[in-house]
Amino acid sequence: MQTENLAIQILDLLGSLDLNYIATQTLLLAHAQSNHLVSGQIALLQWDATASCYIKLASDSAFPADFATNLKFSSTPEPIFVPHLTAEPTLVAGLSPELANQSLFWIPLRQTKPLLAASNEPPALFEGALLVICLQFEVEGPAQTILDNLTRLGSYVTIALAKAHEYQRVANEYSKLEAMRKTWNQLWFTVEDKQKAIERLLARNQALHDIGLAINSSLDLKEVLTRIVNETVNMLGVTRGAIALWSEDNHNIRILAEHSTNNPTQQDLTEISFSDEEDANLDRLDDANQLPGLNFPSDISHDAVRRLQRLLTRYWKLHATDSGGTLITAVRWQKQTLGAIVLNHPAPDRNFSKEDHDLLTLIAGQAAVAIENARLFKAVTDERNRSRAILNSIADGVFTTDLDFKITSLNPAALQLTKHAASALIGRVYSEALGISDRDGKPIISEASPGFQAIKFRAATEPRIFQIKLANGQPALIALVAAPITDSGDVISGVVGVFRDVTREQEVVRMKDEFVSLVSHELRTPMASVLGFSELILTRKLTESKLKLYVETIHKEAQRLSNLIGDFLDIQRMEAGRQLYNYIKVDFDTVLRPVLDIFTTQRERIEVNVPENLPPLWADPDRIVQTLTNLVSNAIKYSPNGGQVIIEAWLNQDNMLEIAVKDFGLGIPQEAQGQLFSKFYRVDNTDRREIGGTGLGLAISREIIEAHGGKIWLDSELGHGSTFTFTLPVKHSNPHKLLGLPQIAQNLPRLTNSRTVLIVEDNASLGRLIGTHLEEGGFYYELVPSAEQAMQLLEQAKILPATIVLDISLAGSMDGWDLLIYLKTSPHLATIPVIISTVQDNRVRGLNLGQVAYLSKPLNTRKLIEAINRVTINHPQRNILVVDDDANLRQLLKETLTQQDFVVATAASGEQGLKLAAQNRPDLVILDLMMPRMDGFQVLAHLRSHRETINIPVVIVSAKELTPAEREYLHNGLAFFLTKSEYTPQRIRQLLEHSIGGVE
Amino acid sequence: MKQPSATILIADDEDALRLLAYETLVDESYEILEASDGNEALEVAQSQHPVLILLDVAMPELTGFEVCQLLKGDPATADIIIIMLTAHGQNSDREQAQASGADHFMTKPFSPAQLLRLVREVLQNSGTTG
Repeated sequence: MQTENLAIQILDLLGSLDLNYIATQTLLLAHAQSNHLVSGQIALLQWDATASCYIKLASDSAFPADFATNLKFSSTPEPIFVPHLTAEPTLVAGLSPELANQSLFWIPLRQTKPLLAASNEPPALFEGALLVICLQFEVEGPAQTILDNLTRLGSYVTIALAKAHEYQRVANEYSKLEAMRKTWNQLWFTVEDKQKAIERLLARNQALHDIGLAINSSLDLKEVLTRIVNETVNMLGVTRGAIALWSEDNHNIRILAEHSTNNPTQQDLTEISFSDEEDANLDRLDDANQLPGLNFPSDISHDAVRRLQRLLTRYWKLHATDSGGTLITAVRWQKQTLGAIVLNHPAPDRNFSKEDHDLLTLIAGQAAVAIENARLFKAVTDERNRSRAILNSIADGVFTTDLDFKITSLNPAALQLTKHAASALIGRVYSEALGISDRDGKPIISEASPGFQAIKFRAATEPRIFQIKLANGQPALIALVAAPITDSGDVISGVVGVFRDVTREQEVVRMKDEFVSLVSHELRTPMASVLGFSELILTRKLTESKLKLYVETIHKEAQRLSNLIGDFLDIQRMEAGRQLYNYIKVDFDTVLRPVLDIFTTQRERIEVNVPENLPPLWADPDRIVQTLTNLVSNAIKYSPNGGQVIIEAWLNQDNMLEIAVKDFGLGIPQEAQGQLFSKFYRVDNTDRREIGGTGLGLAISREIIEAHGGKIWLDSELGHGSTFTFTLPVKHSNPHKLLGLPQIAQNLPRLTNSRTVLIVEDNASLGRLIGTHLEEGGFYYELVPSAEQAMQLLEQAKILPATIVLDISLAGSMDGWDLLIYLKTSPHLATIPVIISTVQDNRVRGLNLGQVAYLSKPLNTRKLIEAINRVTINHPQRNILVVDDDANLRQLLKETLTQQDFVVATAASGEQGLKLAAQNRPDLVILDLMMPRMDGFQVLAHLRSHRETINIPVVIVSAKELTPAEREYLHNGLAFFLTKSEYTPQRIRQLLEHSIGGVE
Repeated sequence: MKQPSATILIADDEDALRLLAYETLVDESYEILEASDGNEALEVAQSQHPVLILLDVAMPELTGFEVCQLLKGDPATADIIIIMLTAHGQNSDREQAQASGADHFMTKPFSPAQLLRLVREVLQNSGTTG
């Protein structure tokens, strides 16, 4: 343990940068080594041609003044032991008589090579300077082994002192340089000079950095072990030495430090892994794998020694028959063998003594401590890096403070959450730096602060919500936990705080609480009347007129309850997207009148400013009445002094009806305007009792208007009133306006409603005719004359049309087939049902041209024939292509259909089917869905995206159970056909029912 | 008609509830005053000095809590008995009513019979004959 302590203390010295500390500690260590030591001194001895000086670094008080400076052997490089000072009067001049009976040990502290190999300048310490330990002993002095130990101590201290000295020297130079740089700046030196100064400064910084590295490297295992090996080899006067470590599984051996006096530049240190095969052969090592003169040590397994031998004989190029001796000692830490120190000397006369062995054991102990320290250091470093990585990546803010609650560090999330720069927070008391107050913004007393509590109770606090001030002055709510930081000795050294921003959560909680309270109030108020009056009716004898009054009140209040519940359900339904709107063509006047009726008592306050001849709206009138009522009601409520409310409407530039409700009342503060349309939002609590309401009206209004394809917004100035404006689509009653020429594409109509049918028809009067039929069916239509305009419109459309009615011959360069291919190959348009409207001519193959029918296997022949007849009616040729990978079914179909006078071709695969379809243009394709490689869906998609095959009817036959998605795909993947001679309202409606699943 | 034995102020912004309270108490020989907002309630209380106020919490201008605090804080009106009526029905309301100095607290919806019982009891205890 003594040795381990010594090693730890030496490591401590190696890590220090304080010359005086190192020197003082060294003296203590020297005292610990020998009880005979009376006093000692460590000094820096410097001289040049003219003078010398002796600078004391540490001295025992009992050490005689000027004793050492009088010594004559100042520049002696080797340690000198003077057993009897009286015997050497020439060495010691002016010696006090009481010292005469004492002995003296003089240890010059030498470093054989420059400390910093990377540095261009050798350390100044060794230019005419010498560090000495001068130790004064009782007469007789210590044993030789003690002197050896002290000498060894001296060699370590040299490293520490040299490092510290060099650091101080460079640090001094740096500060001098820094001062010089400032002076230069003041003297307006030229740019070049400044540049040079900065370069020198940078070079010095680099030197400083290197020194820092060298100091840290006292925990770098390799460097420490190398020093140990060097010292050992030199101390014992052997030729070579090495320290090797086993890997954790004992299977690998690694030489970590090596020193050879006769061959200083060795090849790289190697790690050797032994295969099992090699392991098996370890017993049969030949001479080439054995170190000369080795006695197997008792504390290392023979296998390990054999592996080590194999490695070192290769490394040192030794042979068992070489002369000399080898000494191996285990490096052990707490009964575990970590590795070994090996020494080798070739001289035949060098036999390792018991003393050598003991000394090496001592050194091995030091090596073990160094290894353990390095392992601990690595573990601590790894742990620190892991913690740092966690801290840097978590979303919670983390900060640490010292015992005065001053912030010492913060993680990136803490800075992000507080929006502060680290420099604005570090070093300040955390509660002040973050502006912590309680959740309502009231100051908290320091005893109640989490940091204080954490230290007081030595435990993490419960998470509590506090308000902080962000860097931008905005308040934010955080949930904060504080915990004490304790060191290994369980002493509290500070506090760690962890927090997260809960502003939004708290806002939601607050809004929910307020909403519950509000709903409670809104429901209980009418309920109180209903219950109260009904109780009076039940318990009292009432006159007819009182009874009537009570029942009327109950009715009114029950009505109010019902409205409230309706509102809740409305918003819930609208938000879930389940609200159904009943759109019709309606005049604005029709929706305005019921609104004005509701406010009969306030009628004189309401000014209506609506021009005549506004186009009719396309809207659900009940919902627009609801919206308008809501806005007018708000306007009246927000004008408590009976101010005017104006309702205006006009057609805006976008061809939308714009409706504004304007008041001159309280107005809405700027900061509240953004949230006004959110559910349950109220400007503040005082408004609640003023306005009543559910807090849902504006949210409902927004849902309604946006569902209509309109927008709703607000302009307001506090104290000057508010204007709520919304837009609604109008019903175009004059389609000719829409029949723009292709070149004026900016006048394209817009699709504003999901019940719009897009008619692509170059004949304007025919288009209008179709449109009129559609309108009668409750649809809304847009008309374009060319495929190009239709494409442009669809690309810009936010709402897709319910159906497209498509003519084959069109204005422009594309025809209907081109547009159909485009539609069916654009993923977002492919699902729009298309009704093809064609002129009756020879090319028309029948009513259901291009359609897909679906028949499930096993096939019912009668149904198949019916389906085929339906799609190939009036066609003379009746060519059919059967695509199925099942040979039996192909055969069956061919026989059946041939009997029915069809001409049948067959294909055994999708690819073959497509080829035949393009070549033969069959009147019908019978298609199997389940085929290898290219299945029926792919075949159909291919058929429908190519001009030659797009209009070929397809009958799907498959045993496959279709999924809803597949069913929809087959349903939408087809086009319905309509001959133009057949345009009747009933027929169109029938087709629409097919195409979009029913007319409501 | 008996001589009015006590003056009671009913303060509520809800017409229907004012009517309900009125109808509940009207057959007794009380003189009944009405106010439809906080300010009016305060003014009537100060000028007419009723024995008892049925005070709604959520009213425009001044809340019932504020009216109660002002009346109880003024020696001239501190003796007026105040029954708070709230429809929020939250614990914090009861606490707030107590904090503002209200004597009694009742949650809406309330039973007219119960209200009548409370009023009679309160007036008897205060020495005013019911």
